Amino acid sequence: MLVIFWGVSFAICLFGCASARTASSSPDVEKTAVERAVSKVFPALVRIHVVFKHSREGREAKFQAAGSGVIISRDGYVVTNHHVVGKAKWIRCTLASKDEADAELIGTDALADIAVIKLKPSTMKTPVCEFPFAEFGDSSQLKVGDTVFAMGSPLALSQSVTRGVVSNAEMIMPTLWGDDSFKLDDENVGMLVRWIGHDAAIYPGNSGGPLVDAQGKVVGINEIGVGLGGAIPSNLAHAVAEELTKNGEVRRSWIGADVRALLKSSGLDYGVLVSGVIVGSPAEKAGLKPGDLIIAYDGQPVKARWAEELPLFNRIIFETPVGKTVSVRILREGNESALEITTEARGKAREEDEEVKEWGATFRNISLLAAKELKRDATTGILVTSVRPGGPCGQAKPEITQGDIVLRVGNKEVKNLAELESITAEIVAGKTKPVPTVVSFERKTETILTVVKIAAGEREDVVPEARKAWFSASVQVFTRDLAETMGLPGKEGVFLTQVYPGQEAEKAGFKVGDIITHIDGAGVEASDPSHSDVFPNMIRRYAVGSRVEMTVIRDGVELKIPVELVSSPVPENQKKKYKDEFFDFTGREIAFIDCVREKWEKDQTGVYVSSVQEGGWAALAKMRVGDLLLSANGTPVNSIDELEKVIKNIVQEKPRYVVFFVKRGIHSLYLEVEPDWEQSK
Amino acid sequence: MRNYALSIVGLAFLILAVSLVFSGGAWTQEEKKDTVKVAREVLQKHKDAIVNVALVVKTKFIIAGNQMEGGEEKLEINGTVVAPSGLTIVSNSQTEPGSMFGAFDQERIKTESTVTDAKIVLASGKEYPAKVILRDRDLDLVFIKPEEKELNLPCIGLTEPSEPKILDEIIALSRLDRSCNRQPCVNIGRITSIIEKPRVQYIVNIPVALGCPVLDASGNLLGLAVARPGAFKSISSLDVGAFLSAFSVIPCRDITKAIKDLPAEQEKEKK
Repeated sequence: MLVIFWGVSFAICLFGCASARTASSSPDVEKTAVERAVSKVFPALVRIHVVFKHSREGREAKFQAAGSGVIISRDGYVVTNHHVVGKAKWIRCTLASKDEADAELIGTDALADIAVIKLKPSTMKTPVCEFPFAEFGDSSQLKVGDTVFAMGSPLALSQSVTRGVVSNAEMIMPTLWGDDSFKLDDENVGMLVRWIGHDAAIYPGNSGGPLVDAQGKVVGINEIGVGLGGAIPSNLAHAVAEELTKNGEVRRSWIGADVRALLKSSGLDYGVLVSGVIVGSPAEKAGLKPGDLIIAYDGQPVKARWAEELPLFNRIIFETPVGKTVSVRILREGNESALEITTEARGKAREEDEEVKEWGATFRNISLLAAKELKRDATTGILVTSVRPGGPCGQAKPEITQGDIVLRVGNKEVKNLAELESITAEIVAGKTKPVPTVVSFERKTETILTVVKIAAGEREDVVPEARKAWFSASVQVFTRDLAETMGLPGKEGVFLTQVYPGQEAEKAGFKVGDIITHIDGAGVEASDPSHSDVFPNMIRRYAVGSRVEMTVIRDGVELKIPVELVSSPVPENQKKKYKDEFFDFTGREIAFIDCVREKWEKDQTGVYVSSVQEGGWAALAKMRVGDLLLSANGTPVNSIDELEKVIKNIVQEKPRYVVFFVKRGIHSLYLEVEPDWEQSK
Repeated sequence: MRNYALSIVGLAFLILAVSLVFSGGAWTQEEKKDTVKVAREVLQKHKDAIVNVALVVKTKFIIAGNQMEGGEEKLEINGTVVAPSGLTIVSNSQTEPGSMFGAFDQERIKTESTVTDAKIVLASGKEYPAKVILRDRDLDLVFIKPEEKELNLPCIGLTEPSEPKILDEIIALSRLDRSCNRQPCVNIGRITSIIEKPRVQYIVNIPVALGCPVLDASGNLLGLAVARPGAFKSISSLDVGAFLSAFSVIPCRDITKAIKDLPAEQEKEKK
């Protein structure tokens, strides 16, 4: 019995030790995987800060955004998403070392949502000769359940890592959400991409960052969050990145056939079903028809039994060299035959928008695919993408609106944006007033004429405010309750809450706490908060410069105090101002109300920042409306004229750094920005 | 006998009372007919002085020091031409979208509106490019002048009528927008209240078009319809009475005084 007892006890101990060893080795394995992934990829992570342009209401507005990327080569090429940097006007990367480097856009591809930028070492605080970089892994080897790490800068925070597993190695958008549920710049990304679905936590800002396997290789580029995270497989991302690096663009073939997975009713398990053929496309020219089953393409058998297999077929088409004639075997009504299709260049689904200020609208050229969608044969003409309601297009009769296509300006046909800009420059050259110009444009199936008053500039009237007589103090109504409680029952009037320093009321001897009951013998009939306008309106009835006598109760004693009613202070919007087009901010002279609000002295120097345009250099320096600008690059700014002179000097000299010194509330701040003088031309 | 006599007196009294009531009604009917006649006449006489003013207003918001563009808006509002030069008055509230309602906490969220384009539009559709020359927030007025000089446009003169009383009839003129062919419009109402503080304003019992003239029953100009700034803040959605009282008529004398503040008028006086 004793032997059995000790035997069992020993066995229990052994089991317990073994369990303890197993328990302690699992975390070690995991820890090793994390350390490996982090050590290999973390140093190559970048946080990307961009200023990008976006067309809105006829203007090109600038916005800021942040995303992630990963360095993929020693000389500083970075892969990220198109939707992070594709429309960037300015790109700055923060490296894992905390140093910053500007970057230039090398190439971008909306269909795969991949872009490549290149770091500029010369813009770093401590320039380097080479960068740490990450290596691509083979995304086709990923299996559901594999551990993966999502790395990047969620919410623009510093680089971070989260861990999860592969949830789905060939994730597509569900048909429940619509066939083109994820479109980017009119490209249906799901046509090409089968995402790696995973549950490593990702947030806005993770876009463009790497999905890393346990070996520390990049197996995906994080792109979307749909409950699960979705990463573009590295095999695709790598191929696209290489082509962007080499050629600046991705050239894809197009045959103009709409395809879908096999119908269940067909009973077939091979081939790809043609559901439509675009008019004028290579497929149509070759004789392909809806209902045909493509069973081989360029000698390769093809199939799309399920929606998940369509991106693979589409990729075969896209990667065909442009202009190549391929043999396509089809099955039509049970008969097999072969067609010869010569591919054409696919181009982009959507070209870039550009603002043409003189028209008060943004326009874009029409790509081949866009023309087909518009049911047009030609790509000539310029598509109107947004209109400023009060601008020349918005005020034309009939007005030109979003979706219209400009065909002719005056007697000249305009085929593209470059021609529109050239004709516009000719029209407005030397003109100070808008030039009425006949414009022909297409709206759906009609060709319409209008007159657009093409203008060289935009008006912005400062509306003068009426200047009225003014009593230089703030008041509140002396309510019945106050009157009774303060032992002055039945007395009506106003109670002084503030006497503006250095002004007439103070000079006349008024004090906070005085109760004004009469002006020139006329009672101030205010006894309820709703009467707050009574006193100010009594004042405004006088002419500027009038001398009035106010009856005042102070400490229970009635006094008569004469005072001059000077003109109300110059309103803020009528103060002299300077609008700087380069830094995108406006400064104005300090107004009286600024001094009251901020408790500044009357002779406070500096320039009040009254406007800061989003995405401009001043905004990037984190200047805010309400700041008091005191100096720029060490030169004091005491007036608007000085501000203009200082800024113009800076723009001329183009120093690497520009430092604004501002006062904000009780704090003073140095705001530094590094303008990209080259890009800003 | 006495009772019979009393009955005759009572009956006579009753007949007299009824006559008085009906004759009083008859006077009201007469009064109404006159006002309708006058209203038709003043509409014909002054319709060309009521114009549409097309504005483009750009708004921006400043929230905690950060600027956000609110966009550009095209407006077409009513205005009254008060001088042959084309000097036109509109309601300031209509040139600053959202200002009437005081919807925002002005300390934290500041709105700034700028007029980037102005045109005076006649009933025929002819447009005169114009410029905003003065804003008077107190009176809720904005003064607009055509850029073209030497015009001679139909206008309505600012007069000094007798002081109206409560329940006096009024004639309100306006003009519909282009969807209704810019047709002139007239309505008859009554003064239901006279505000005296902070300044004299007349409250009427009919909706009035801001920036448009309101006349008395004799056809003399009382003043222009404006919004009482901040009046909308305290209106509940079901309070029709409060809604109507948010619009008022400011007397001609206040407008005449404001015109004297115009830069051009001051220049004329100096000369």
